[in-house]
Amino acid sequence: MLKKVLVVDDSALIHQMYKMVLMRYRCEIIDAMNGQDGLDKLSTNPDVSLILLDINMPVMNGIEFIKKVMAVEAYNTIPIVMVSTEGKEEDTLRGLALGAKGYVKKPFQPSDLHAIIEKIYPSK
Amino acid sequence: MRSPGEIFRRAASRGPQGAAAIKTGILLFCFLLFSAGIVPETASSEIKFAILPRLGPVELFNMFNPLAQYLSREADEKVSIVIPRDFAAFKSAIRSGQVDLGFANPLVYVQLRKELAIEPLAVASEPKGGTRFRGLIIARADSGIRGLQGLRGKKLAFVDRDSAGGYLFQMRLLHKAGLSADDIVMLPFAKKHDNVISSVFHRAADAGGIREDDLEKARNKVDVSQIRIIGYTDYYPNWPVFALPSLAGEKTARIRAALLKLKTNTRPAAATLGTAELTGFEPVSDSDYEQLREAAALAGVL
Repeated sequence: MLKKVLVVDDSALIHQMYKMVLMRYRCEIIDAMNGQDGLDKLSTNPDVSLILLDINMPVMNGIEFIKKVMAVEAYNTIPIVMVSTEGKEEDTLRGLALGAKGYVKKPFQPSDLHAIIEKIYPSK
Repeated sequence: MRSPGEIFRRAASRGPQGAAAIKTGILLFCFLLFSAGIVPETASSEIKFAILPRLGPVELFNMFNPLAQYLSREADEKVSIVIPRDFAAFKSAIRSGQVDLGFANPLVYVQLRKELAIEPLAVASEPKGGTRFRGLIIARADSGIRGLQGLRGKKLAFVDRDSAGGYLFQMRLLHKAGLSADDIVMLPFAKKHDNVISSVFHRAADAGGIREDDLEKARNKVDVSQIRIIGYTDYYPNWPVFALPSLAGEKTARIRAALLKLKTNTRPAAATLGTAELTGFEPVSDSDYEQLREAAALAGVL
């Protein structure tokens, strides 16, 4: 069940957007501004049930974040969904190869993201 | 740990695949130098061409290396691509005279032109907008916002303070409509054009500023019938290639002539610029950027 979502994105505005898009799940949302911040938040929230991950971020990008998460036994079963931008197909493929469970392209229809979440956490 | 020489020798012993590996290795070594913001010492006769890093170094090198090779042939002098680490490193390379040519967005151009006697040689032409582009202010169709005056008191999202098509152009549009930054609620910069569209679409923002072509790109991802265009900015000139004052007059003239031979939508332009997703180069003068200077001054970035 989707209880706690970690959103890793360098835009504070996008954090606000996810609060609206994920409202139907009534889940807790934790914000991180880059990959390193995401790792820090994971260390205090190891019970995260989903990570929504931007790729192009300062300090630590999404690909590096996936590598670090996959290297830690306590984290590497947390599903990661990449939310990438147009023209970054190579990064998307790398992320999937590293272990991300899926991706959506920004901007996306809410139903696109909901469909991926439903695959990971079926409602029935 | 193996030395680079040993790695290359081992690769070479593997035949054609090894040779390809060597080539890739050398290229990646160059990228690492450039991406670390280091411009290697080279013969003084070499012309160094810096590209503003709006994408990753490998991607940009592959996009613009055919142009560098073309310019090398035309100018009868080696032209090398330099990809600085970020926008600040690009500006630093220009200010310190580490490079001879630059290719930058119009805002970075006018900012540098304020400090240095750089000379625009040609303006790039793109498949859709040609040598100019414009921005939009968008809102949700069901937002009730019907025109620019309807933006008073609304929450607006923009890309970045240094974004031409996602902030500056819209600031001038609002100014011309009699609105100032105090009349709207400025949300934190969204960092990317896609984020502005997302935040408007998902109602995190009442309205937002983006490049016109970014809404086109979003057409197959979201239902754009739910988006209303509230206003169009003026058109502004595209990215220029410019020469630094240190580049000799004769060399500058040869580079300008070579660029202008790549006329928009001609076969030579397609062969040289296809990888860069450009359709050609056209003549340009510094006065073409006057309106952009006005927009940049209004936004406080010039």
